[in-house]
Amino acid sequence: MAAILSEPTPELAARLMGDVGFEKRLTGLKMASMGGPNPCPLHSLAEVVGFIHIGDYETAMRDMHATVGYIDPSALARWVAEVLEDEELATAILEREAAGENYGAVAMPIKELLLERITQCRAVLVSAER
Amino acid sequence: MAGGYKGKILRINLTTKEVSTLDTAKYEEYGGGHGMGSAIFWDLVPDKTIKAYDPGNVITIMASPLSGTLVPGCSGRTEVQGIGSQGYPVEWFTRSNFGGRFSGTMKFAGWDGIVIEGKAEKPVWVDIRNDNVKIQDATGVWGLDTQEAQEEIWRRVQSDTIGNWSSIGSARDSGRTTQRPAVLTMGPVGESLSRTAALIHDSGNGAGQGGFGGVFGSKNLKAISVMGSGSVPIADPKALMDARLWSYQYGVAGHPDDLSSAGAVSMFVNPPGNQAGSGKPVGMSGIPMGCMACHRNCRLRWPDGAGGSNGSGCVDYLWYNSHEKAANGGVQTPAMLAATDLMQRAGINAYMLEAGILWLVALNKLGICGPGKQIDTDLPFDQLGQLSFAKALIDKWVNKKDIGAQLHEGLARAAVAWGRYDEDTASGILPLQAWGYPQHYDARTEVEWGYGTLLGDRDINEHDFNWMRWTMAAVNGGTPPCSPQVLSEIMAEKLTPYNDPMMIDHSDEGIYSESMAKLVAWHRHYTRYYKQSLGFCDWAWGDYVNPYGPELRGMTGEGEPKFFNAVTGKSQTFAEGMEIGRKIWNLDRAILILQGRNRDMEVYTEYNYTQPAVPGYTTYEVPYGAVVFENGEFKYKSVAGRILDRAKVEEWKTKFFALEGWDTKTGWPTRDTLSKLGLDHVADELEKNKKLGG
Repeated sequence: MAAILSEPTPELAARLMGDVGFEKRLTGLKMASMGGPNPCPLHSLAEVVGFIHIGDYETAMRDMHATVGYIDPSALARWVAEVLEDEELATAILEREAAGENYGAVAMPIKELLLERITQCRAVLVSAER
Repeated sequence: MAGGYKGKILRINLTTKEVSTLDTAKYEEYGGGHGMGSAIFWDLVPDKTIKAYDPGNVITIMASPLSGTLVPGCSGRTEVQGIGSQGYPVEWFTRSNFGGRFSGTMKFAGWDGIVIEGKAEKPVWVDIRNDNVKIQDATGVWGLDTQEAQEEIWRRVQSDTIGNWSSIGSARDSGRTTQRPAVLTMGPVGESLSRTAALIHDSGNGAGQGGFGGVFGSKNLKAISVMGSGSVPIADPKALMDARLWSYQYGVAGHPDDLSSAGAVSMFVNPPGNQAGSGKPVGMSGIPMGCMACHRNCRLRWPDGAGGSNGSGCVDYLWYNSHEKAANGGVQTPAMLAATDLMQRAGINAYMLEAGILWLVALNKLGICGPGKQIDTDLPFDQLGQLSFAKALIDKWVNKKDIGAQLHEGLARAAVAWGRYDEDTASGILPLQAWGYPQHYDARTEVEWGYGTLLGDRDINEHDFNWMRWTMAAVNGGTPPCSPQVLSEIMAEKLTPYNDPMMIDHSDEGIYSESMAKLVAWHRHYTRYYKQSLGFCDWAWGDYVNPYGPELRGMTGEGEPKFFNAVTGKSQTFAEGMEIGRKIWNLDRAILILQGRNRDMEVYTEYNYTQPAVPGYTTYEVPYGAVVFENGEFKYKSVAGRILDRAKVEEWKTKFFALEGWDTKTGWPTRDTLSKLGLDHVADELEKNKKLGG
């Protein structure tokens, strides 16, 4: 799949692969019917990717054990822009959200987008080390 | 006696080694379980102000008349009560509950409950085989984890007969069994008297909240084993079978070719085999397993070599699954099962671990907790998500090493010891909703949960009105299973005796209304009787909205008395049961009052009044959907970002106390209220202590 994001600079890549600390954390919500909605602090892009999770509608409605790793897409875009200072990635997130679809429809495309960015960053940092 | 009861309750004094009985009939008016436990506690503990680890503390472990019968989603629950060590700042009289086969086996052995008093001189376990009850030396059992201890007791009880017939009586047909003893035990963390210690039975069944594992430890009681070869008398077997078959029409058993897509809103419907265990390890599947006679089978047994955790099914997974998943790039691995297994074997309350780990990570990120920091620890935060971190944390916790010395005392007391309590419960990074219990559902949004917790003794853990199940549909783009208007109509029908459709209004005004007071009162009375005294499981009942029911109506209101009456032969109405629930709720209230409870103490921790959401980049835009009544109509609406108004909460408490017939200035029941409930002796005791409401 062709990259849809331009290659990040080594500085941006390093920032995106770093830990933002507690004060600038993003908060996700681990939703489970029985366990309740549990706020989870996320301190890096990698943690965000690992956290985003949702099954399909049928599973969610049949299975009271189903969990959702929820991050509000707007909040994510704002965090990416303001904390990670990656305007391009933030804009791409908002584009996916702008489709107006529910979280179940946009979560995985956003996750794939973030994964692509991480892959880019790793390549840039390896290249910079050489 | 009525059907369902065995007629006697086993009473064991560990100090004097005396074994005696109580007549169940004396407590029959309370139904069973919790109600009987509260009444027995009232009678046997003259000084309600004693501490949890005082030998005078009495622990009741109660079945119900429905235990060990074919009542679905009910037969396997066991209720535990006494003064718990977990509550903060007061060790409140509290309760916990677990599933499995303990209560049914207890009934098969001939007992409606077990009462534990005193303290043994040295570690012991209790060995019950029908009427034969012995207090056994726990040498060789003490020191074992919860699984090892059960296996060792099985060996001692059954010797080489495991898998074969065990003779425990003289009768040909009722004196033998092939069943293993049902064992209730605490783990190493209970032996060291932790306030976070659970009681564990079989695999995956735990009475986690309350600190009862530590109370067992304080009594030098490692475990209770029970083996029974009898049965439970059923007043009307045909009516019971008919009721069970009738209930199939409300579950997937009656609709195998028509699995509803709305199953999650009816816990009774939710089918077996669908249990994700809050996220299965990739490429693995478990086999559904369940409690005695349950149709749900909501837990999972994993294959050998899966990493452990057989039989778990809820928050026992949640304490580490998200960390494990995040550390593995979003892929759940068997390490999640192994971490769960570590916790189960140690016997630690999962809620304490789940909230504790988030708090510790926050403190680490803030530079407060770590090597050489204010809270000095060598906990390997860089390994969070790996099994090594889970092992290190649990090792410290169990053995009171490093920061485990404070965590062992529970999160509230750890926060006090570290000088963090006020600041961290104000910011919300330590979300202890009330009484030292971690937030489970949010008091700011699902207010009936918070109110119930605040006015009681613990996190209520009763999932009757969690609108999030509707929200789970919304985040997936689905529509809720019924319109909010229909939901209000169904709830108004179900919530007898109030029958007020406005009870489910969670708008900014509705959460402080008299209708909300009715909802909270209804919930307190319903759960005290039907769930905690009769044993209807929170994971199956109440059944309000049911996709298979007539016009989406579930069984609640009709189902509970139908089953109760079939087993007991009584003709109790649903409303009469609700009144018994009110009576039990008032009796519990009286015990709390004698322990020092008053209205002024009943305030949430600070973050509930000041923090609209956890600080950070979040809006909670979708997940906090609720049912609200606005502009003349019911609707589903996000109540994200809400905080509680302190003054309005106080006004609401006044409405609630007035509704309950309690003194609005103190929150203490009046004599008139107690007298109408048949609790004159309770009123006398409160008056003697100058704590009777005016």
